Amino acid sequence: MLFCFIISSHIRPLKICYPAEKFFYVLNITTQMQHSDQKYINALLENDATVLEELYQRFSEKIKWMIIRNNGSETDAADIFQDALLSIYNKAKGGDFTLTCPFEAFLYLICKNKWLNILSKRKTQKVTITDTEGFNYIGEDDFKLAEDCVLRQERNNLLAEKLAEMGDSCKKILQLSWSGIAMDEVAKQLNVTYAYARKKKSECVARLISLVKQSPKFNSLKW
Amino acid sequence: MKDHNVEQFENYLSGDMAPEEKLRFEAGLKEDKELYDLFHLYKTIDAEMYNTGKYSTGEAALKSTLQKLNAVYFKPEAPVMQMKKNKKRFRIAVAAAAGVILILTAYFYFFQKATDPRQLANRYVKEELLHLSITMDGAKDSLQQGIAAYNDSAYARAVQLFEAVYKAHPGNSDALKYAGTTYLVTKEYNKALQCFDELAAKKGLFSNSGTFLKAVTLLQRNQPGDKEQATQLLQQVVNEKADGSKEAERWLRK
Repeated sequence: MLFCFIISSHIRPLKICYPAEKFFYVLNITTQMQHSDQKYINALLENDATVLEELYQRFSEKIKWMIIRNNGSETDAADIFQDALLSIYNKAKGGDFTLTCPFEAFLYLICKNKWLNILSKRKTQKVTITDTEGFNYIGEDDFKLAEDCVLRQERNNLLAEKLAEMGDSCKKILQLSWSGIAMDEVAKQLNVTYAYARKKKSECVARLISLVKQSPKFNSLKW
Repeated sequence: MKDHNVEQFENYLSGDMAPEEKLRFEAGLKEDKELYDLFHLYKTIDAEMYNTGKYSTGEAALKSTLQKLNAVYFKPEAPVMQMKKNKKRFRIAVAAAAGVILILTAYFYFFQKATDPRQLANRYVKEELLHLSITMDGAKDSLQQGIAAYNDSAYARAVQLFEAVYKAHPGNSDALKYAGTTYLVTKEYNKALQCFDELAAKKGLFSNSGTFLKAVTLLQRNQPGDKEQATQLLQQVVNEKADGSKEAERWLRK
């Protein structure tokens, strides 16, 4: 069975047909076209120092200016820039991260969101961030991806903060069980029975969830 | 949050639940919104923490690379001195410093008018380049917006506009000159030099200040060899009676 695209042209409509498998492949790549700046995402995932240096050369100045012009310092800019790159890394490492707009605009958007969050915490009044220029080519998906990056990083920060508040035994069992080791191996390492390890893990996760839910930030982080 | 909820979630997800219990659990998820939300939250936390654990080595390595690059591309400010204590001594020190500054200013004004080209270039940047004149050509909207942004010290936006205009219209030498000027005043000297080199290489312009501005940039950057190269360029500007030749001539006499 064939599936067809009909492409309108000023001469006459063009019909291109493919077998089902190829049709959906073409449909996927045409609807979600990867931008050539995806190389920066790959550089973050692969810790490629050469491409990361190029990234700094190309984009750090603009972020610096944006932050300094909006009540920030160069130290703030450095923190925001690094934090934004780590947010992108954290989102991308889960797979399924396709950049469909220029990296510069995407990074700017994330840094701007992060900086606005910080300014609102500092209760700064005067904010002059204007970002109409250069945002025309950011699609809705990219805006959502940028928001996801920021939220994911903030969720991770909250989880790390609450995990640090827990007792050592909970920290140990949770860290081991989330490191990818099977539960029977975790039990062996902790010198306890498998049943006890599972029970203890459940208790600790329940405690962590309670702590996270009690945080004032919880509701804004879109779990 | 009850522990048995988490045990139930884990049993369900690991496939350890008996078929009847599994059906009851799934029915519960459909009917009980609170249970459903809790299950969703559990899955999110479990997935995010698992990912964090799995990639912790990679993240640490990346963080180390980014910290090294941060140290190169961002310069931390000097620490701020706290001077709340001993106000009287502080006031005396401020008064003394003000006196010294006044004497030095008077000395340099009356006796040291013949400053070297670097100081003159500094003064030139401060007096001549911190404000750009709006041109009267209404068709060049983006250029005008760039100039307005520049005059408002919104340098990031200004350079973005100038570069966009130049990219779209490579014949617009003003856009290139202004992009270079923006980099110059923001101390991005290497980028400024690239712009002014490109500007200086343009032939057939009615006026071309590329060489002169390149000399100004070199004097501002002040790396070894910059002053000598700037002197040569200023001499070239004088010889060719190019844009900036009056200043160049005056500076070379100092």
